[in-house]
Amino acid sequence: MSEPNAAPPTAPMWKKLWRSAVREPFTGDRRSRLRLVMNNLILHLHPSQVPVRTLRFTYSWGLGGLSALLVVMLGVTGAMLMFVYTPSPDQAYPSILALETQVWYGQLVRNLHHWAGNALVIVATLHLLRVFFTGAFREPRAFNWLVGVALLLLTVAANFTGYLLPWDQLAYWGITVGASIVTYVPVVGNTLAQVLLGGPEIGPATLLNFYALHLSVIPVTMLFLMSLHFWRVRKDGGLSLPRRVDEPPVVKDENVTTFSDLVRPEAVWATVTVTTLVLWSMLVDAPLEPLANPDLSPNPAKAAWYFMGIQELLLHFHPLFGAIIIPGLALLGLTALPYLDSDMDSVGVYFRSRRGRWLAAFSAATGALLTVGYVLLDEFVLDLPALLPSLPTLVSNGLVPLALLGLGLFGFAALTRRAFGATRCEATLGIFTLILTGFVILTLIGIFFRGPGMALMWPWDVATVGH
Amino acid sequence: MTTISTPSTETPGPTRRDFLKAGWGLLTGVAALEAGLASLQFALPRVAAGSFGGVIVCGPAADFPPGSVTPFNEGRFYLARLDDGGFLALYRRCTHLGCAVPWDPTTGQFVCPCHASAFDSTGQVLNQPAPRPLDRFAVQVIDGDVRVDTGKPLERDRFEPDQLVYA
Amino acid sequence: MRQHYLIGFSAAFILTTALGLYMAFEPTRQTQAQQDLLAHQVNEGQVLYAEDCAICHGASGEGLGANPPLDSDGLRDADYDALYKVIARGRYNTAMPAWSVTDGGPLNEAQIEALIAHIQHGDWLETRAVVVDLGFEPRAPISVTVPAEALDAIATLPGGPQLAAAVETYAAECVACHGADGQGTPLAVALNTEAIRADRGADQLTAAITNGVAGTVMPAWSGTLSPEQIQDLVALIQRWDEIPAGAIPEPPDEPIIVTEELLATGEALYASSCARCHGTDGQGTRRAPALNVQSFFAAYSADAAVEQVISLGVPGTAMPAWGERLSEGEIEAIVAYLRAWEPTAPAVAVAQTGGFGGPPWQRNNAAPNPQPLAPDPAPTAAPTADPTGEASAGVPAAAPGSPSGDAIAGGHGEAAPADDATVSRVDWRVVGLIGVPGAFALSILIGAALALWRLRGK
Repeated sequence: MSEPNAAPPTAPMWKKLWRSAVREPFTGDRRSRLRLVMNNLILHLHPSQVPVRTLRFTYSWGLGGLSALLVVMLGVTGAMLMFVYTPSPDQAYPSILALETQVWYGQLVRNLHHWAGNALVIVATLHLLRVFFTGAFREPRAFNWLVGVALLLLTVAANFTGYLLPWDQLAYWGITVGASIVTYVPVVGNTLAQVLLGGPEIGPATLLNFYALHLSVIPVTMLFLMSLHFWRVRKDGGLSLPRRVDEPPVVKDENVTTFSDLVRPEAVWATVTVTTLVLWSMLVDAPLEPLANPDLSPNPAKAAWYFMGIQELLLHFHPLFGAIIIPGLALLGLTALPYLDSDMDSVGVYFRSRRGRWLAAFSAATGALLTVGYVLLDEFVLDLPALLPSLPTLVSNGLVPLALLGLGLFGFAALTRRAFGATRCEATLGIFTLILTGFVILTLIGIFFRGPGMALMWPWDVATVGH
Repeated sequence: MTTISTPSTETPGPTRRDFLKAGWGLLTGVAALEAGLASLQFALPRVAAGSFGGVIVCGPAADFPPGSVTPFNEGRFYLARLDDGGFLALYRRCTHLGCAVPWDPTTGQFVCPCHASAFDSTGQVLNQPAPRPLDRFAVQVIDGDVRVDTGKPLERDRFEPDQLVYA
Repeated sequence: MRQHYLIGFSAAFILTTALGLYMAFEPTRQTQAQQDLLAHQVNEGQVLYAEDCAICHGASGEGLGANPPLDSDGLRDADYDALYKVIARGRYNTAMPAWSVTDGGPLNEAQIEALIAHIQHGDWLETRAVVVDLGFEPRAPISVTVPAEALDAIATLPGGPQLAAAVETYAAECVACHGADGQGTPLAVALNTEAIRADRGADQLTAAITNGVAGTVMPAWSGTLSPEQIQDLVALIQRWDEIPAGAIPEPPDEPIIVTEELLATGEALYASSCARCHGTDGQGTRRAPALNVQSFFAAYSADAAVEQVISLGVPGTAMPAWGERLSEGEIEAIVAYLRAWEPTAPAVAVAQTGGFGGPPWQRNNAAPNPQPLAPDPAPTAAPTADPTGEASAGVPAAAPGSPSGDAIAGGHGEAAPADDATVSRVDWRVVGLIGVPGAFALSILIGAALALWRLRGK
């Protein structure tokens, strides 16, 4: 029901142009601010007014918006890189060298792209954690949680495909290791890996495949899913309302206008983020190792950092379990979370309750200590196939430890419910935190504590000996 | 949470907040301009390392008899030596719309196959639609060797004798 | 938030200033980056040169025998493409092989570019230092003089004068690589065998000596030896069985001076570099043969031979060329350590199996591996000599196990076992890395458990 804003026929041309583009003049009063958001393509991603509580920075930390900003930055820098990079094994590496030494600001653009990409994995994960710990994934937001998980997987896929493009030693062997993990999928693993690589090994076909995936398939899918994600946020009622631990659920809250009470902090934090990323990119270069040499595997050969948790798992479990079953179960659990039995009304409360907070701390500490303990145990003392020689390693080093792990987790959940009186929600939170911490520890060990021969060693030794 | 003040309660004169707000906007604009300029420079063509674009050594001057026109495909030019012994390196790119103009020894002309422009052995226009003579490259004779710098095509309105280089 | 504008302003200010400064310095950065890249390529070229080219073209590119020098202005100004083709494709009818992977060689495009950068921009004196440091200095051709009595004895054979002349030439030029009795060395094939006499005709032998053998260290002798001398040598090879053994004296072996210190260094280096393939006591594993066995010492009676093998590796096996990672002194130390086994070496070695740790399904014996992470591990394996820390090119993968990545195959072993001589000191890095977070986690665990216990009724 907008009022026609057309300029009178006698008005000057510039006025007519302006009026045809801007549907309504902005007068600064409340109604005008509401209508500005409604009438603007970018702004109308937001509702025209928001509950004042949701503006609290320490609730959402702006992580969702931050992720979107990083995606935009990746798109812009990526588009610029497209003008210089050539996706052929002979020319990929020289084109990166030329980018860094002959193209104006080439090094800066590459660095921005690299660091934004890595930052996105971390920020998107933090966003997922925030949503989980505030219970904001419950109905009606459960479907959006699934969309979000899909986006996270796509982010990792984008990182993975982009990793290969420089065609240096790091890229070549990191992707070899990463793709080899795929071969452990039963029945279709080898075919899957061959489709991905465009052949039995990494070659020119792989580079083209990954280039196509990285530049068109994944970004387009991400754009679609991001649109779905934002749309669902609106449909599901916007951000969940934060509340203190002992507050009753808030039904109605005072609203403020998006413009400019939400837009302003968004703009501020966008500026801060861009500044930080640009400064970081000016100071720290993206890594580039020597040209890929198919005849020379580095020792150790490590996948990208976000896969190091899985690579570490592979050192302790039979490959089928370490690469496929355990991560698969974890992913299944992640997607099932919103649909699990929920016995508390705690949306908007960090960690559900007071007990939940302590439980999170308790689970994190337990997870850290147990994971480190298990890694050491498995590395130096335990040798399950030797203890159970009659069983195939699939069972003795796969099923058995997984069963033990499962029992342990159940036991932990039971402990928290019995000894601490935790509700089902809180127990789930505890288990989630336990597994999360475990995975983080495994990733850290994989990155910093593994050296040549994937031997366990102190980080300062890895630096002198590793690749 | 603050809302934008309505005119009736606005304090007279710009406040510190207004300054910061305006400054923020202005600085962001400047940063955007910087980024735009950087992107333009990013897009500049790189100096291509290759034979075309560099100095081509044609060979000893004695190899080119007066009255000859020798093609150098690598350098995309013809080396013309006029009857008085002067060298002229003619860029084979037609000045009309860019086709490669071949030399026809029988007629002693460059005739462009695309739109029938014609040029004489000094590159001057004999037939339209070419708007100007063929561009030339700088020629040097060093130690008896003829060298042509294909990095920079030189435009001209007409042929002048001082464009020739003698061994 | 009142501070929003201030934060926004400050961030925008920093961004604008930083961008402006960066843009102003970009030309400098680019030039510097180009120079760094060139310097880097030259360095890489030096290492590659030391590994692959010095042996034929000399430690500072001065040429060796019939092989041409490379330290010339002509090459520095040469056409890039022409130079690339020579290195990549080799030179027909000479000993210069094809080095490019596309033509069957070991070097990829970037490596050949590095070599060219080195030839055209490198400092050859620096290169010599690198070659010597990496242990690749080509051995000066060792010549020996044959005692007059031996020559007279040979001259009495039918066709003797030719044989005697050949023996003299052989002693002067060929002994270094082919051995005093033609028995061969790790550098060159044996010449005194039935097989050579039976299978190689005079034409083949003449061609090999005259033109060299592509892909090997055998140079073309056409520039150094006259056709008659070459014919004499061919006759010698065809009639080696007639020459009395020992006629040509062995070249003197430069002995290694063994000290306590040298042995200790050798032991430490062996533990960190060799043990994981050759066994902790040289008894061999499935990856590499035994060294602590009589047959090894019998085959490698000269220290120089052992040094050669360690330095140059054994092509076609997993034995890498350590000369690029260890200095000559370090290799001597290892050899001294190995020699120390000789008196007590068994006749038959029992290979060591497993026991190196790693993922459980990779370990193939029940012996537990109880070595905890030592607080101060001994100098760990193969510190890379290359300052840029890259894996060096052209060296066969040092890691045993499947080429698809050590991660999946698991590989082996933790860091080198701690040197016995190390006194247990408190390593503060370990305390900091493990102790602090560990204590933190424990205190959180206990504190949270207590808090949860108190909350349990609510």
